Amino acid sequence: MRSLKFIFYQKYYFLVMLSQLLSLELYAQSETPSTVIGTGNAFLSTGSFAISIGQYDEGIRLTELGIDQGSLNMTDRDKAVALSNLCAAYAAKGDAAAAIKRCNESIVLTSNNWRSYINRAYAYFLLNQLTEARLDIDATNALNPGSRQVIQLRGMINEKAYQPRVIMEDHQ
Amino acid sequence: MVILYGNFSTAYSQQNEDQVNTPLGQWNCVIYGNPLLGDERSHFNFSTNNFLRITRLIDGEATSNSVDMEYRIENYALTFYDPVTGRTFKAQLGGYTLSGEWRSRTELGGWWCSPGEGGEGIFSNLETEIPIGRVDLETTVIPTYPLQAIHNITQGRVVICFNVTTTGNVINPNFIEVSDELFRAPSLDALMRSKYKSWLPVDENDVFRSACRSFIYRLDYVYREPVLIE
Repeated sequence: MRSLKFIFYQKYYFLVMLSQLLSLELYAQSETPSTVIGTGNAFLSTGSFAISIGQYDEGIRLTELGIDQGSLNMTDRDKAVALSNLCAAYAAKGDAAAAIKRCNESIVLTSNNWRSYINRAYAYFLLNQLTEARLDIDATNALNPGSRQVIQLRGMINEKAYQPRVIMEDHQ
Repeated sequence: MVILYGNFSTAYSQQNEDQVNTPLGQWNCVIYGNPLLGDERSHFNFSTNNFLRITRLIDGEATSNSVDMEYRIENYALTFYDPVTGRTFKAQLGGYTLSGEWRSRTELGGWWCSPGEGGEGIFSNLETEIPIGRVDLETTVIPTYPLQAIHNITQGRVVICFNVTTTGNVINPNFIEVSDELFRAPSLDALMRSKYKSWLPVDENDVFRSACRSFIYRLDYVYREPVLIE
């Protein structure tokens, strides 16, 4: 039963986030099961789905309910994933401060979830704190090298940090 | 067709199928990329005994002769060292232009040459003996910096040589240098949409002027850390 629950969490919780914020297709979306099997937290899975389709307020409400209701029997890892999803939802809404708070809580619980770092990097990006964003991108890259989200967010940061210019000279 | 002029016999003058396989002869050259000096114009005179003399030009007038320096050709790679400026020049022969890069201890730039007889500037029209002067731009188009290059923090340079018709249109673009393929399309697009002022009162189909343009793509770091208030 534990393994079924774990798979369920994997497939639902990791659906979200930065991929959507950055206009990438959702990874693992096609793997989403239509039926919940086992003792999974329905609030968390439904909340995750709501966030993935852009219903951020509803997703936040359901995810917070899920954390409250499941707090007694949730593992640190599951709770960290739920908090990471909350972080992404707040970032998608543009509430970077709330997003960073949730990501911090997630990282305290589980320090090796790269999605927490990339979500927090995006939140820092929204706040124009590019140095912090870069540090989180580096952390993400260390945990999950070469991910598309890292490449895309790094590009967005460079776009904000650098001013392009073209100098033309005619030689006659 | 690239034809070498100068002090050498016709045995050296005809290059094979437009390709520059030997540098022998006199060339009118532009050395670019030095931020302090800007474009430098020189005559390069390659002799058969593997010596090269560079004559520097200011406003088309020869100002000084360099010492003779040895040049080497190995596997179509031409190299020589200019002790006056401390630069090592390299070029790959066999292309359609005599051009390459130079490096000093701290800087990097490029150079290219047109065949010449000396004294008339690098873009004289020797065949028609048309008066020489700058062709003025009528419409300038600045290339768009490719977004992908910004994302990758890619800077670079593109040099294109081309001809200008009597009515001011740009024709026959020829890439001399492309530091990154990302810059090729926007540079060519900007060049071809540029237009020069007419430089002859009558339209002559087979008369044109040569020019080159460099596009330097730069990224300036403008980010400032926000001041955080606790």
